[in-house]
Amino acid sequence: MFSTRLLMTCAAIGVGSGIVFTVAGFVNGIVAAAAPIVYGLSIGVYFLPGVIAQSLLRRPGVALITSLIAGLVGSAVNPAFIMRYLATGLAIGLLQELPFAVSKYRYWRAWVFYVSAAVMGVVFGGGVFIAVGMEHFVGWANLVYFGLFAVSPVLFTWLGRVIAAGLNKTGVARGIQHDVDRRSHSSGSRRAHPLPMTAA
Amino acid sequence: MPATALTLDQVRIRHADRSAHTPDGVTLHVDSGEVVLLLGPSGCGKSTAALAMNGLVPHAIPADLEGSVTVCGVDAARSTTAQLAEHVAMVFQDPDAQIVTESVLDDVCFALENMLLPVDEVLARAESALRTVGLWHRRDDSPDVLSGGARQRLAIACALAMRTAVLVLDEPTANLDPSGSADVYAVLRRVVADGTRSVVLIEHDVDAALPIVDRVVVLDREGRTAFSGTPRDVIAGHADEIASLGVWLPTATAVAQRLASAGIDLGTVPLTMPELTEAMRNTDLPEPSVDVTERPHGERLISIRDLTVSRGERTLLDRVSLDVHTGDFLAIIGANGAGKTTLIQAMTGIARPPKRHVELAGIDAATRDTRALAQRAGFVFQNPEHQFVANSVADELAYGLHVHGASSGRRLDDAEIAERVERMLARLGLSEHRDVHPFLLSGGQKRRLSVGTALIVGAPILALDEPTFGQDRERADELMAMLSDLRDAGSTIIVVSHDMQLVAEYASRVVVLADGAIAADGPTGSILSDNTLLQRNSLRQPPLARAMSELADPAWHRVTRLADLPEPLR
Amino acid sequence: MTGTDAAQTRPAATRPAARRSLQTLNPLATIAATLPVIVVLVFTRDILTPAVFIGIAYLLLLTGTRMTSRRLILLLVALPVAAAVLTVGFGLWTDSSDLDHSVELLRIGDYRLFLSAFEVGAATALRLVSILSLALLTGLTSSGPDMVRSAVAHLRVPYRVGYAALASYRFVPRFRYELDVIRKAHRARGARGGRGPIAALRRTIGYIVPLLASAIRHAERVSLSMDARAFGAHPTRTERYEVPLRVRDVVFVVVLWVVAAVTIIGIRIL
Ligand SMILES: Nc1ncnc2c1ncn2[C@@H]1O[C@H](COP(=O)(O)OP(=O)(O)OP(=O)(O)O)[C@@H](O)[C@H]1O
Ligand SMILES: Nc1ncnc2c1ncn2[C@@H]1O[C@H](COP(=O)(O)OP(=O)(O)OP(=O)(O)O)[C@@H](O)[C@H]1O
Ligand SMILES: [Mg+2]
Ligand SMILES: [Mg+2]
Repeated sequence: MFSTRLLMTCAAIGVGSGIVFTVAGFVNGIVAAAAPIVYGLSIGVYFLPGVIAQSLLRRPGVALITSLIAGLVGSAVNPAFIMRYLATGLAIGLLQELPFAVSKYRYWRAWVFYVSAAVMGVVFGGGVFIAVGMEHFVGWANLVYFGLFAVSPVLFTWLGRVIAAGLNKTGVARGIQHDVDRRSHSSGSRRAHPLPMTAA
Repeated sequence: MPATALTLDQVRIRHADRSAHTPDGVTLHVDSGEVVLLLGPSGCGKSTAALAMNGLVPHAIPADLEGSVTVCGVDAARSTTAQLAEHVAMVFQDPDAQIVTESVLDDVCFALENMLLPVDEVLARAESALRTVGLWHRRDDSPDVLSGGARQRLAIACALAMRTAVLVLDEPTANLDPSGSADVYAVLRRVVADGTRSVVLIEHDVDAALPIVDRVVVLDREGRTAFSGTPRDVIAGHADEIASLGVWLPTATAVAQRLASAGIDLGTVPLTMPELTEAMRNTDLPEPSVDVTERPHGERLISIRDLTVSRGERTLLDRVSLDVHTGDFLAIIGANGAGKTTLIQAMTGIARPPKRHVELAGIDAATRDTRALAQRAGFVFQNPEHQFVANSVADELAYGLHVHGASSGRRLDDAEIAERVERMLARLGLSEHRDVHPFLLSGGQKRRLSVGTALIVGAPILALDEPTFGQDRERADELMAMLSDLRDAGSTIIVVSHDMQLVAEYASRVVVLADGAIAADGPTGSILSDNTLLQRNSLRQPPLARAMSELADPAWHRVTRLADLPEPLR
Repeated sequence: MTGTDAAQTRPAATRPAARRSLQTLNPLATIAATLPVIVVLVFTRDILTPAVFIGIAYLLLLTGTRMTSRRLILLLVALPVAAAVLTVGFGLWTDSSDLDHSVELLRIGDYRLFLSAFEVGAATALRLVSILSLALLTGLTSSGPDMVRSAVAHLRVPYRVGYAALASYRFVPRFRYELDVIRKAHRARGARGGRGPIAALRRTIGYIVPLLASAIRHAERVSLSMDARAFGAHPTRTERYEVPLRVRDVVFVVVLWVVAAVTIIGIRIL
């Protein structure tokens, strides 16, 4: 169901954001050590590939593939950390698929992106919470720490959607995009351009 | 009667979001073993037709396709591109976009592995294909370290290894220098020698292509088949019509046409340079009057002193010193990788040179003030896509006017901008594409737009990196005439070009670069007549000069430009 | 003739010569071996457990993988420094209200710093470093492409996706080149210049869209070329580079699991 063009488009987005990952990786390390409490702020960068791919293409699976490729490429620059990048890519990519899978990938309005980004931020923060063990923090610190995990994905979701809107104008995704709203009343026939898939 | 390998029957293709069909009714039969050259003006749909031959249009590129495409008896509409790959292999224009893997050998094997061939067979075919194109000894290299020409030969090897009945090549040498493209044609000659493979070739450089083709098909502006037949029938029989479509004629034919209009009848229509020389030897020729008056130098506009540019370990430019004067038409020539692009970008400040080595119309080219730079020099990139910054053709042209205002620096209001944009659109032949995204234009259209964006600002210096590649004759002539006019109006033009004929026709001065240093600098005539100098730098004399040097009368040896030929009669 | 050539033309990465023991493992085996241990480590809170696993990981890394100076710096300098910095960092941040207050290190006004806070910090730091060093077992013994091939061969990842990933490696250097060109193009067109971080930031954002657009454009052309070369014609494709799962992979996984279990249980009992 994925045409080669769709796959390679995901790859290009993934590589572009994967390069951002490697930069973010350095920054993250410094932040984590110096001020662990604002670590959450930088975590949102890992949401970028999926958000760009989903807002641009609006198709099932693109977030997962794009995120994974971003992780893979991030690790090409820094091979020692391949596990870290791949695991992050896989986890976030899967999480990003969920909210749209609920509507059978027919409904792609902005609010879904933002709400799910906030929820995922909290979920992700929870994971890191256990790993890092911030239970020792004083109360207000916990609040800031968790809050930033929720805010950061929303922030980067916004950024990703701005980028995707810019890309949309260049027409590079014509023919592989789906509509924002394809629920039954508008039915599948309203795709931007009917595109017979190359090879299954 | 040989079997038909490929048939296009009344094929009309309309790209998604476009109103016109390009092509609009192409009909083409390619017999097995036949080599067909497809000609047509820029934007008529040659590339689109090529993509339909293996189903990429409409399967991968959204478009409406009417009519039928049949490959080896298979209806292209009913099978996937991957299935059609059993029968058709493709070579595209951009060598970089055809590399998928990390090594030369892997890349050739890629298609064969997809075709599920056993490993032994994969390796055997890959080896023979790489040997054919002369890259077997580089099989373990990364494609990145190959030269442009070698990369394109790699793409051809990838196609050859598939052993398909049909091979389609879309401007395979457009990005290459003369020696790279000569290498590619040497390979193609070997490929078609045994006559087992049908080839469809799209190529603007007719001189290079003609020797290997059996049949020529010419499309008109709408992309309908206009003429089809042997090269001689088509070109000799319809030279005027083809020229008026704006398609390149072979240089020899163009010369004969020009002579005919001057009242000199050669008796035959030559297609190749030897034929032309032969015909001219047998004809009474008048004395040519070659105009060798040189224009006086204007004042110094760009001055480069001891410019050295290095990247990492490599020295790209080595202590270059050069002056450019107002009104110069300077051509920079040299082999692939000689540093031409580096030089033209440094001298116009596009790539910031080291401080205080380049003075550009009164400012240091290393300045950070990009507005000041852009007001002094317009730049046209080697790859037109690189310079587009807006989302539609019209916006692209308006952008410069918004940033810079009129050439006097006055801000322009929207109506004025719109009017200037309209005029430029008309001049570039892009009026009907005004709302299209620049990326979606045909190759030639993109090139024209990129020139337009530089022209519209009206900077006194215009620098162009390979301005005419991929252009049809009409557009190239038009562009060069535009540059000549600008020069007459006082502009200074700098071009980088591999097209020696173009350099001969228009440049007043030529700089030859070799390994980042200036190997020669002088008036066009004296540089282009120095054959040893040119050959030392993997360059060649322009075809016209080469043909004329074979004539007996030494007065004709000085003829290097079409303009030097006898004037047409009124 | 072809057979011998085939052997000669294998790229260095798959040549069996001179590989250290861990590098002959399938990348999936190293993941399978370390992943459960990492999960367990996430939930530990003491200092000893992560310390022991750091020891085990370092032992394997230093004996079983090819060491370069960069890697040695990573293992012997970067990670210890990171552990120290994290210890201090977490130590300072830790809420010490219900910790042991017997050893006080510092008192500034209301703020009191206890040794126990640093113990918590050290535990956290070591936990992170131990997770990282186990992950390095995969990172330092396998390459991304091998991982992809292996996932295609053994995890049922569709090969079309795998190959898209492999092909995307080629985009990395291209991005650098494109960025350079786009920067020049903006300069040529007289786009807004200006100094300072804000101008730089605005410029960077202005580059992202054209950069991605031209990357996608390039990707599209590559995909045309891939389709034209029969990509996806069949449900499978010939694979010249095998990444088999062998007995030694299974042995490695089982041994590591057993060692880990014994260690963890041992520390709990003692
Ligand atoms: N992907 C696309 N989407 C929309 N329109 C397109 C697309 N590709 C080409 N076109 C348009 O179709 C027409 C034919 O383009 P095509 O590239 O086939 O021309 P061409 O004959 O190969 O020209 P050239 O000699 O300049 O390469 C042009 O007007 C072009 O703008
Ligand atoms: N950023 C860079 N880093 C390293 N090498 C470079 C860089 N840019 C260019 N080069 C190399 O410098 C040499 C000169 O490049 P340049 O593009 O100026 O050549 P050119 O004469 O324009 O060639 P062509 O005819 O192919 O356009 C080439 O060999 C090129 O590979
Ligand atoms: Mg074309
Ligand atoms: Mg160049």
